[in-house]
Amino acid sequence: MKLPTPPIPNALRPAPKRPGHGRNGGNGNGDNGQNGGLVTKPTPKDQAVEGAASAVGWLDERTGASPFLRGFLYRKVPKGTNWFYTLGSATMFAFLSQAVTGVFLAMYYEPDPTRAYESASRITNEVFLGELVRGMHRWGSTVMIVLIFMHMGRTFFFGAYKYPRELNWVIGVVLLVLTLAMGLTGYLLPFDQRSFWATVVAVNINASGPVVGPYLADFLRAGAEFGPTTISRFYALHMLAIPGLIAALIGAHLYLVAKQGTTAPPWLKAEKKDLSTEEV
Amino acid sequence: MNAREREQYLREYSILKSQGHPFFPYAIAKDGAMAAITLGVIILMAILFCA
Repeated sequence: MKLPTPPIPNALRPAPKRPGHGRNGGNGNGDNGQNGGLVTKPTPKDQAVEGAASAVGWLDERTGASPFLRGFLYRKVPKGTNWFYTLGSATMFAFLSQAVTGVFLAMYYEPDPTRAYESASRITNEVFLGELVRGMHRWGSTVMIVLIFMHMGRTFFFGAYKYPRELNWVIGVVLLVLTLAMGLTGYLLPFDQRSFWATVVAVNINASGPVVGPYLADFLRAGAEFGPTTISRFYALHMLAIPGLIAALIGAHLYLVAKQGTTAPPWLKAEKKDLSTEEV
Repeated sequence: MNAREREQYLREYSILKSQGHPFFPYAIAKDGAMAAITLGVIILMAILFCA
């Protein structure tokens, strides 16, 4: 008994001929290109488009990302969405700006109590565009926190924390706490008088918290008192632990936004006739 | 929110969503413009007020 031939997967099927390209390079009218038919030579633009399409096809065949991307990009956003809905993506962009400027600062910064202040001063005064990058990092943190509170306000007043988006609200609140922790851990790093004493005060406020407060303060200080290892602990939290958590939670936040959809403005209601049609 | 209200909400939301626009290119254009404004504000503040 002969088994039927299995179907060829879509990825291995030959691409259909372009219009105007018949068999053997003919012109599509049964002409094979040797009987005076026009043979169109692909232009550099055609070749570039073909190359890009085949590269995207190669990537898609190996990752299977196109259904996800199609679903993410072409999902519908409810009517009535306005500029207030851009505050979340603006916050994420501020975080990306912080990440990029932070990488450049980390190339020159030394998290050592005897060299931290000098390295921060060197970034400002000697490194090419160092003052601009450090300024962007310093003001980017402020902008990010302002944007988070504006985004949170929009979510609250538009009722976007309600069913079915409660979990996303909780993730957002955790993101706010982590961003504030980024501000606290980053404030010590210039290691001047102001940053040092402000951090001492902030950690002492933490220590006054109930139950976990003293343990949290000991963890932040890397001991019972501020010491040489405190700055490296703050640096590790500021550079690795907290940004990693923020990036992971932003991914979860975005996934839930794409899955559940953006809230419609509260003043916008579906028309009664549409509802009754749906009910039928 | 009881089960009936949830069902009502989901039904109303699906109607509003079907009347909306696709995220790309409509919403993403606004997001891009806002991202550019955010970056502009950060750079401006860095230039004006330094670190």
